[in-house]
Amino acid sequence: MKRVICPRCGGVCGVPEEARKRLLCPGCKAPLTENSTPQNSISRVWALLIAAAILYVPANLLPIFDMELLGRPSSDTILGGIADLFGSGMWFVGAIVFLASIVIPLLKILGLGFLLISTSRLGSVQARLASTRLYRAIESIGPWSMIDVFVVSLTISLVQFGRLASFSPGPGAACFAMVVILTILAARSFDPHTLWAIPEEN
Amino acid sequence: MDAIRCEVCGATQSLPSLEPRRRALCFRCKSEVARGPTLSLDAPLALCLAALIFWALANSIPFITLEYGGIIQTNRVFTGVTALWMDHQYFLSVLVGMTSIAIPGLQLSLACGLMLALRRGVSGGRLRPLSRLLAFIAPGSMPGVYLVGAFVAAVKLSQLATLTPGPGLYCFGAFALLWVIGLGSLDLEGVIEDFRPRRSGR
Ligand SMILES: [Zn+2]
Ligand SMILES: [Zn+2]
Repeated sequence: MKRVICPRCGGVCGVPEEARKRLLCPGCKAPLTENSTPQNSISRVWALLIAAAILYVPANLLPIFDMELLGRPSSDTILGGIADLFGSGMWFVGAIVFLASIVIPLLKILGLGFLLISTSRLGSVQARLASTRLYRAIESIGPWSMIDVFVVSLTISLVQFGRLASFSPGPGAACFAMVVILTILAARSFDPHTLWAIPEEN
Repeated sequence: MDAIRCEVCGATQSLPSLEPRRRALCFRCKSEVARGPTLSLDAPLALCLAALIFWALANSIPFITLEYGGIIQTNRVFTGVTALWMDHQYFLSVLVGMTSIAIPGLQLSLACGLMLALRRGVSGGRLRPLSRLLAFIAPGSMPGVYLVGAFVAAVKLSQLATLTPGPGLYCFGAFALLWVIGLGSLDLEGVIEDFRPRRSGR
């Protein structure tokens, strides 16, 4: 048996594992559709989120750029690139990259984790409204962490100076791109219905 | 009065009939539950067609020109994708190509096709698979993010070389802007449900 929360009355109904077609809630006779099985979506979001959190480490530790300037090889991590920008006085661009590459992925991972943990403990309407707003914010900032991936692609397409300089993406770039994709998928898999599924206390 | 169920929190509520361009928010979780009917698709169709033209232009003319010690290098939007591919970074190459060029173009063409079909009087029900496909690919479309990425890359490289924006960059900017205005306010899944073309001669 599987526990399913009725979309209309919020009652918990037992449902056989196989039969999922057109089952009605015993309380209010509302159809129990597939998207009223939040348990499923929650474990998928957890899986995607944990994978993203694990990849976040190599994404920041490994170089995203391998460069060779005038015969001297060097490499650049995400944080190193940001430090360079700040060091040469480009505060504005440095802040954009810092927000997009460090803050946004971290906010998404922590925010979704918080939503997943708190979803079963939400009582008041205010707490649920705040969580719904947090979820919408997480969903809409997602693509902005792609900035660094685009910077890598533009840089290597522009800098091909033969022996003077060459750029190529380091292993951190692919890890970072995976973090972006996984967090976007996790946010999409999260069903905001779970924030409202349990009836509120008064 | 219409009874409607909020997709986010599941609350059932009755709605007064909405004026065009008005939105109704759920009384419980404040998510959008309905929009006023769409009377005319002229404006979004024109915007999406214009965006598609700029998309084609942005892809075919020089994007940024870089000058370094007598070497002049011109790239196009697609150069980043091919450079990554040549570097055996297939995952990054496909990711950048999809999110910056392919998906936005597909999204605009599908939206234009769908709106043209609706104006011709094709029933919304037959277009539902198309609108679902559109909703599915929408999160993979990031022209605005790409533009910011180009800005960051240009600022970083300007320490090293002289950069000149090409006409393709301006076209890409126009495309990204029209994409936001044209598709941003368009709820195609809602439109196919309630759009009724005006009969000629009335
Ligand atoms: Zn029920
Ligand atoms: Zn609601």
